[in-house]
Amino acid sequence: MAKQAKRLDDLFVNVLKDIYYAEKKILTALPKMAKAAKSPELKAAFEKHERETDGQVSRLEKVFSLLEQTPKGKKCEAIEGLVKEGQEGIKEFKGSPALDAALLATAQAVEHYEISRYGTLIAWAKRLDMPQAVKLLQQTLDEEKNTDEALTELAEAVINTEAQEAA
Amino acid sequence: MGFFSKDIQTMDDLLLHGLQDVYYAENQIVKSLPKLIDKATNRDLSKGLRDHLEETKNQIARLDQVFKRLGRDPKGVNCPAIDGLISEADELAGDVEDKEVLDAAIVGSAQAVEHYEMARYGTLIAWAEALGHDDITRLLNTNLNEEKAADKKLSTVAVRKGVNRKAAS
Repeated sequence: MAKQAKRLDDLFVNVLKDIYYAEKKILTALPKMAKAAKSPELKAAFEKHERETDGQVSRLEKVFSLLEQTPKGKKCEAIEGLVKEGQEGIKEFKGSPALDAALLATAQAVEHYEISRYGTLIAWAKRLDMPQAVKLLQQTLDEEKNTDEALTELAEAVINTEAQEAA
Repeated sequence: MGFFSKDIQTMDDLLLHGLQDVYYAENQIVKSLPKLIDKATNRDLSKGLRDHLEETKNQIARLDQVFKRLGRDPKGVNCPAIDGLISEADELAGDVEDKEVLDAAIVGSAQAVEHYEMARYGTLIAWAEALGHDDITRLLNTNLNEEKAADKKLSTVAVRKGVNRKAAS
């Protein structure tokens, strides 16, 4: 982050760039996760979330344009770490009965990262009196929360099957 | 090594490695929280972070018990996700000159860490339940509930205790 954040609006833009980078990284990771998943439901969930993530990137671009800024990402160490863990999972678990459970764990950690970032951005946008940005960010936050809930349901089904198979 | 490593084959292995991941994360958090406490200016925020530091130490003690019940020694595995979150927190804080804006940045970073832990404990609880480890599930649930409460408290500090208002002025 080159620019010094002196005010809350600078900080807002810094974190906006962080999540923009993260969403783009997720767009490249999701097809790999969909391909690796064994359960057809999990595969479908990743594919659906890839389409949603596309829309979320567009919404972020709208927020940048509301601020009269060019959309730009800034390397986000947190998502790099999360995606790295996910990639290790795919590599190490190929053929293992625990593969889908591992993929789900990674996906939910990523969702929670996004939920926290969008929550923070919304609180700041409200304080900065940017109602249009709040609306766009809230739509994305709702999608992330729904995705996390759907993954929780899938996780329960997947783990129970795997635990039974292993028993 | 991260969350996953070569010798994981079964759900039991997966649970153990997930525990080692969050054990490493909690220990890193104990190391990094004092730095955030030093930087925070809002009194409610620094008190909240100090309380959470004590809570985190208790959470580690609970994880020690979990390992014990599994007949294992407590051990951490390097976790790139928490390392990334902490280095991002340092970076975000290092970028800010204004003290009140810094408080808002600290809240944002702390909430990202809380959410990481919530995701991990949620996953571990689901795995422990499926494997029939009721005693472990209970200990992990206590940690999860504390993380959720800490996250809510941070939201309150940001919105009602003036952190965001002062940062915006």
